[in-house]
Amino acid sequence: MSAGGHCTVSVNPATCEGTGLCEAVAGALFRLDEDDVARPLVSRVPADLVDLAQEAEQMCPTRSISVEAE
Amino acid sequence: MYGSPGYADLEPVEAYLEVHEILRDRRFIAGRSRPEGREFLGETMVGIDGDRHLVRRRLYAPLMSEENLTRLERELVEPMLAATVGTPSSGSDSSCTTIDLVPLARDLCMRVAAAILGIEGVQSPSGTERLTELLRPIAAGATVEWSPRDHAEVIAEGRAAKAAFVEEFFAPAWERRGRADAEQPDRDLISIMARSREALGGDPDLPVRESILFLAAATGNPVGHLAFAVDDLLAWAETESVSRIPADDDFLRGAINETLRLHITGTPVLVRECTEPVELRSTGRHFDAGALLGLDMVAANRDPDVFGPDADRFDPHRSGRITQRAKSYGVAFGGGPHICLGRALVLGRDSGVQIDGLQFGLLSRLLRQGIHRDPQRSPALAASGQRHYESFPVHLAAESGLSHRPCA
Repeated sequence: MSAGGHCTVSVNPATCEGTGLCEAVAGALFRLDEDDVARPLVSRVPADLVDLAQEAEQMCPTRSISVEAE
Repeated sequence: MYGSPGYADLEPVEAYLEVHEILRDRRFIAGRSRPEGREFLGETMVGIDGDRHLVRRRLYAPLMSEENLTRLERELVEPMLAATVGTPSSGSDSSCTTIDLVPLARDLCMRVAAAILGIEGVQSPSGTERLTELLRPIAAGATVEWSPRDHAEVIAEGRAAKAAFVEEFFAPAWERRGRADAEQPDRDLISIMARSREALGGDPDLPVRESILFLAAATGNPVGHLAFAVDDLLAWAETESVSRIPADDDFLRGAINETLRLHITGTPVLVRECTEPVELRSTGRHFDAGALLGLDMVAANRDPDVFGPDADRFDPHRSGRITQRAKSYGVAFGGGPHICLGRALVLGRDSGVQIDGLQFGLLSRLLRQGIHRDPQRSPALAASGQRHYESFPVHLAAESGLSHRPCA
């Protein structure tokens, strides 16, 4: 997926604990809202940010981030 | 306050909402905690903030990947549980056996921790015993600020144990990585640290201290919780006159989370420094720049405004009654960027990974094996305080199914 393809990203707000690790790793892709729940800033991730999206997915302690290949 | 001269000026924070908010807010940093025990845990992942902390978090994240956790459970945890607790079977009274939960849980957690670290010589009873023996004074040194003993003495004992740990366990593993270990890139901490010396800075002792942190975290809290979980469940069954403790997924995970909430077996007070004037969104409470806060994890997890008027009571069915979007285990794993790295290993499916988790794996087996208290020997709390069991003997009687009643 990281070899040039796009992907989609989503966050499960029910399980997100708002650690902010996704925002710290990939600030272009995630932002904590006023309730400290992570929100994806884009639904379709540009190819050059796919690696970061995947790293945020791996780092999320509650496994609330899903990154899917298109 | 909190019995620590090193933290005499801490401003107490006890409400769940405030503790939770402060843990997540980056204007509160962990940097000034552990002033005395720095030679054991100084500059490790728990005591640094901001970009430096993020670098470590990124380096170590693969340790808790789904692939790594699945491998640990299949290759290490399940075989060990099958060998020690066994599998459900029918039998007569003669199948009743006695085990002590504390050494069982300690051996299990120590072997898992050793695999995560990448040290060898721990997959035998003598190896786990030796590492346990060394870790005890090291952990005491790391938390010396809370010790009622002479602090210089505690630190000297910890220092000697740390030197022995390096010689017997850490150095051989580190030297092997120095030669060549590219075949298993992200499977253990020492491999990751050996490949990332530049990112970790030039302190040659830091990999040792990070290893101590992982060992202490992976063994101290889970071992304490396993005994408390059994104690809570058996006491609940006795109080509620429940003849068969359910072993289904939802019930057991609710019980495990309740034990995690009620028993903070690690540091009961987390220290945070306020770096600028802050007014909390949750309550409006104000803190000045430079204020040192003592986050009371025990009080937060028993806050009646969040967990109900009976927050001090063990109730495996509590989750539906919790308010304020709180998790049923409260702040047992901390929160914010410093949230416990090993959370998924403990919680399993409750953390979104496809493994049982240490607590569930052991408890479900014990229940299926007909666990009940040993009528001859009572559990013994550690002499150092009320937060750890030193011994917790139980009987297993497979013929009694899910009963918690004693052997005939």
